[in-house]
Amino acid sequence: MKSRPTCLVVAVVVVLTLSSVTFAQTAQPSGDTKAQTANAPAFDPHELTGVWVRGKAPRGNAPLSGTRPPMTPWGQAKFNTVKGSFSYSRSPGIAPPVAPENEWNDPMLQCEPAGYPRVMLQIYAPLMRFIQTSNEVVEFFEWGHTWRDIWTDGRKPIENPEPTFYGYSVGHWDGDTFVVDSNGFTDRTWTDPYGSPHSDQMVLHETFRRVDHDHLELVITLTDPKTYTKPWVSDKMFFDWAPKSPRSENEEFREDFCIYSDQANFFKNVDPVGASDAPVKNKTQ
Amino acid sequence: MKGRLITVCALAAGLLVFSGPVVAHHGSQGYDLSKRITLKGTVSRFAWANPHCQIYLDAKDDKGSVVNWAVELNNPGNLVRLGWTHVALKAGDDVTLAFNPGKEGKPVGICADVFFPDGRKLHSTQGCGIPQEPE
Repeated sequence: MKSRPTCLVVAVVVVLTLSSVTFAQTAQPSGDTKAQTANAPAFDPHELTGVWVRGKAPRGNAPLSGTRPPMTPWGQAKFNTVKGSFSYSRSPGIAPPVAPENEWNDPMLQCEPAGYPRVMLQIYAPLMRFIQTSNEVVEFFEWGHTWRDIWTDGRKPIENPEPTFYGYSVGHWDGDTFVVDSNGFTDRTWTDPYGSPHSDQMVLHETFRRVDHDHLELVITLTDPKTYTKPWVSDKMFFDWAPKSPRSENEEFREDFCIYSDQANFFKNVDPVGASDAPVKNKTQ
Repeated sequence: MKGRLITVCALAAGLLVFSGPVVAHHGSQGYDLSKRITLKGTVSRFAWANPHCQIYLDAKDDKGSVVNWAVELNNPGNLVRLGWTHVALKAGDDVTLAFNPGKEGKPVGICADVFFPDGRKLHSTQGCGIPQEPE
């Protein structure tokens, strides 16, 4: 019994230490990057192939950054329709109001695709995987077991492409930075778990940089003049290289689907508030 | 003893670090997070599925009637990280569950710790603090 208070103290100290690294320094790489690089295995900065686990930022359920650009009247009107569904502790200043459970309207609760860039900001399924071929880089996402094509064969972005959840993307190397430009997004998705809106005019400019063998850094710049009065530049996001998936018994990329019938059964059988009025039960698929 | 202390502390720290966001995935307002109950019973079903795995447990109430409890866990990917597998439980298993119950008397729960007769334990972190041994 004597060990319990000691344990608690140790736990709290560890938590506070890790929390400060995890949550407070989201814009800085962890540790001494030069020292890490000196001891890390050799790597090719143009080699992205592999499994990447979302690192210390964003932890999930985060917006691109805590400072969302001012919205246009169109964007604000769209944001006003959001019925928030969970706590927004990461960036409360830009959170939508949390609504009663029977009013939640997060499209992902209906098992709609996360879309891009939201798939990078979700709390669950924090893995992505790159495979590079001669004419494209394929970015796989654990959530939904889906992917997007990033064409690297020299083609230019298409003007007014068919709208999709994951957009139309072209990429090229600028030195050691992999630059991706995307458009053609459907406006059905939320930009992030906070319900931040976007229109079908949204374009993304992304820079991926493998800073050392084990770490990948990403910055997303969202430009959508229909929704925001200026571009929205994300905080730096970090991903840790993984030799295998830590989230699958088979050590493979997990089939992490949102299955509508499972979702409905969960709300029906377990969730105490949503048993009779959960949003997933109020709609047909 | 020292090794055990370190293990328990590390687990506790891990729980606290990872607890916040997970509990926020869906509504937790229907649960009484200040109350912890322990039930001994028989698993009737183990659902390995998104958005949350579930244990269905037949346990007798004060009057001797069997009540089927539905207790939610973390999602499959996070449970794998915690040492679970899709066959961690099966119908017919006799186990003891400790969890936070629903507020309105519905036989549901969250934040389950599972204790097997042979001494094995499984925990599902969902923001409910440090696992506690059953009374």
